[in-house]
Amino acid sequence: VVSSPPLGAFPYSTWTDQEDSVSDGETILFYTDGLVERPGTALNQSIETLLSATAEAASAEDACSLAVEHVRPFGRDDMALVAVHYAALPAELRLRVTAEPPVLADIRRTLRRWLREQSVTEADTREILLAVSEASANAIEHAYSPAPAEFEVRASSRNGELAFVVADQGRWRNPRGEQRGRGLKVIRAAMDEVQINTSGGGTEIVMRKHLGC
Amino acid sequence: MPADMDISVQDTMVIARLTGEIDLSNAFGLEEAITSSTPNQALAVVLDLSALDYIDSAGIQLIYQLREQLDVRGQELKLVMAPGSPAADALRLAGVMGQFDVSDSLAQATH
Repeated sequence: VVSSPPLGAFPYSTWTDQEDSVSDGETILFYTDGLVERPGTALNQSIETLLSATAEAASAEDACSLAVEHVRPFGRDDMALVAVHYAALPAELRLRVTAEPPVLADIRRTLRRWLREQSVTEADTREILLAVSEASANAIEHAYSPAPAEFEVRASSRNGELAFVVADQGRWRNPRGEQRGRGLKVIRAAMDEVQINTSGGGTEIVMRKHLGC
Repeated sequence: MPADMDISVQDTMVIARLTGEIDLSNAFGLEEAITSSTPNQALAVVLDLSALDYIDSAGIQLIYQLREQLDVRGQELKLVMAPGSPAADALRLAGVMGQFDVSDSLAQATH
């Protein structure tokens, strides 16, 4: 990482954009100099201590505790510490979300991460995201309870076959209008198998996709 | 929800370039934004979907509505999307690709 001057400190500075990838289990730490500067200790040494202490952090919370415990800040300077930990998603994904349109983008974001962990190709990923997002949009449009409704998105993998379930508590209603009809058409075209299960308790759209074909 | 639109006028064409993601959360009202920026004397609207990261059936519905509104004014709708782009995938899966005037590039559409 190329270091740059502090933001707002000098009127005519330039900064460089830098991009890097964070893998599963890795942590990004943001901290102010109060954490690592102490008289009689070289700055590099403090930073080394910080790195080795937090390398195995299991969560963001854990990273912060480990940092403070091992670096033992001098305590004369103010100190701020922010940790972001990128945890691996479980093999069986289960998301419970509010039935409101803005959650669609979040579902796609999380599912994309999960699909990457399953080494699914970009072409398959796009088709799956479309199908699951359409099924979720369907659940959102059918949620009409007075309380904020919720629905569930599940994803699992078995023997090269991925299964996705979008389950809501709403009653299945045949797609009205061309738009929903088109949504269902997209789901059927993108997936290898589609099942719509309805019961008194709600509606479940089960979608399967075989990989590698 | 991140979707942006950039509208420019080139001779008798209005070029609307969409970026980001379009779904149920933000599709509503986009066609209104495009028609209100289209002067009566324009002959066509070019909707450039090449840079879109995502579009679903709510977005496709918007394209239909846009075409309907332009039809009434005697204006044409042209779509631009690169083959294999997310927009092209969505229109192909919805089975509606053949129903629009689609070009691979903006240059081809404005030619």
